[in-house]
Amino acid sequence: MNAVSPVLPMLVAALLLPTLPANGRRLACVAAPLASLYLAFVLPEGAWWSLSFLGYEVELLRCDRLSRIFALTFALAAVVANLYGWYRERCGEQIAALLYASGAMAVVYAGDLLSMLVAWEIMAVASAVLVFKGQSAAAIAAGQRYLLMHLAAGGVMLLGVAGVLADDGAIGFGRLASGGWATYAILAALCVNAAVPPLHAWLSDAYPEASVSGSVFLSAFTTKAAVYCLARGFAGEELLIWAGAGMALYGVVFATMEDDMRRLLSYHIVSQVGYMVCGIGIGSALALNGAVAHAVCNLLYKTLLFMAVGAVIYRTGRRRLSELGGIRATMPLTLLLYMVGGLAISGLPLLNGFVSKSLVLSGAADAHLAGVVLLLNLASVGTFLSVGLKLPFFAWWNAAEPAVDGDEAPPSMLVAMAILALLCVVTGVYPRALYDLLPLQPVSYDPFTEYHVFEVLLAMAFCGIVFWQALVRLTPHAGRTLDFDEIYRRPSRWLATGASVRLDGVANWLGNCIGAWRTAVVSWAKDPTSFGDDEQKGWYDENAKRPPVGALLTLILATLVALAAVMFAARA
Amino acid sequence: MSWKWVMLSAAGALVVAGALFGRNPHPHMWWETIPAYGAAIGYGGAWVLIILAKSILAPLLRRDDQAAPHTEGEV
Repeated sequence: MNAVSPVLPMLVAALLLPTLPANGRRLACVAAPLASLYLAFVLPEGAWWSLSFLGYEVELLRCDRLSRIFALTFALAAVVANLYGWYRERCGEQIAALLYASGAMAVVYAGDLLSMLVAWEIMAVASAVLVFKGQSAAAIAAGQRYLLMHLAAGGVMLLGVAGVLADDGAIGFGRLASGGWATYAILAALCVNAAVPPLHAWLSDAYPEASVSGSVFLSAFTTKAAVYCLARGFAGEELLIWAGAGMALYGVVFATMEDDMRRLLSYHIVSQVGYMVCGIGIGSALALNGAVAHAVCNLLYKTLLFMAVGAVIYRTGRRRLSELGGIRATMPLTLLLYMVGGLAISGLPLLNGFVSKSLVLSGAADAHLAGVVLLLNLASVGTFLSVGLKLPFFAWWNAAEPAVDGDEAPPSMLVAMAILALLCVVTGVYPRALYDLLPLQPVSYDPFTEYHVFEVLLAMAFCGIVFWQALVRLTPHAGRTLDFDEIYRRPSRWLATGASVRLDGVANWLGNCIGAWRTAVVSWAKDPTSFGDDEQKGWYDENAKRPPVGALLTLILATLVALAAVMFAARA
Repeated sequence: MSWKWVMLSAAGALVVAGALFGRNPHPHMWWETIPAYGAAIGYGGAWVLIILAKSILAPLLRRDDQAAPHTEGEV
């Protein structure tokens, strides 16, 4: 145990935050993840923290190439997200954010299923607090649904872990794709957190309702931690190939319908995680590296996008595209930084999304999965359509004058966004910086072939033409989109109402029974001779024997006191 | 010249350049041998998505939203 866990600084800071003044808390929120980032960078590979628990060897700190790249990215995300949230005053939100990031890092360092499960639950609870901190009725309701969904998934995972332990007694967190109900239970729980449809609706339900900085954290950790676990345990699981391709398309179709900016981006999380899930399912070195690279790149540009959109909401108070327009005059820097993220997620050459998407697509093409390649290409076009064109056009253009009053984002937000934008460019222009961190070495993939660059530019240009042609049709309208959560939201409401009526009846009946029993007991206590009879006999006087019994008890007590006094005197 | 014409001209130039220079040296799929395939997936794919989302699914799945007004001051 001679290495310091990168989880510790954030965990300790989270515990100390309540004792610090407001500015101290802000500083600690940035300094602690910075310390975690440094420790993650210098932590050597190997198993470092092990202890025996219930007869099992628990590994709290296991580092290899896969865990290192995710830990570095998570720590970096925590730094910039806390910098972005510098304006926050609420201590509870700051604590929840640090605990959430600690949980995510603890998941990637967990060397066994038990410690992974504990870290998983910390993430679930802390992230639910961030949703609640949206502090609206909708946020509370969405947070409750979010918490229920994730606790249910945690329960299924616990069942799966128990099953794996019962099957072979092995607790190590390694490759799990060996079949059997227990591994499928773990896979199902991971699919909930990876937002694989139809288990994804919690994401588009909860993320848009969180606070501005809360949604930035949420966009960074939960789904990527699930991707890490899938890469660790289920690489090459064929089910994931089509699940991933399907979710890539599902997300962009629903995003095309959306009006709420953060809900639109939430559907694009589903879509982008689809690329990763697909790459993990293919399981070749190229595809697996692609999935991991895409997780890293996605975390950078998706966090940037949530930040930019959050800055618009922070400054204007509006979250719907149908209520915005023309804010390019008031928020030009935010627009510039948003466009870096928007073009990166669309896969524009020289930005990081181009590199990581190309890795996954080449992995699918090498495996001769023609249908998958086609679906992923289509999803890529849809991503540019809604994130690269629709959202910025209807928020920043589409009107000569700003539709709402606003101002440029605060400096801390701009700095955080600029850091991420810079990283999107650096890893896009110089992909070797990313390749050197990937889990399976060596990586010799060159995305900048003539054909590939032209193909992508052509697709984007012609998608732009369609956007111009279909502008009226794409104009967003206020409203909400029904999704799979309708399947359980309405029945659960009926169930809750019905259960409450029936439970009231049961409670009343139980209350009456207990009341009758209490009356009978009191009655028997008053007149023991009436036991079993319906009413008291009348000749029994409960006070008749009180004086003699009282006198007898006094006599006994006095005798005992006298005896004690004699014994005490004799010993003295 | 408006930005729309600039965009069209750029797209046209890209198609020509793509057809001339953008040959895939190692095609995995048959469609990768089609010159300027990217233009087809960009144009056709975007229309497919718009029709699927806005003309087929939106009438089925979009609802007027009384319950979730915008959130001024919510942050």
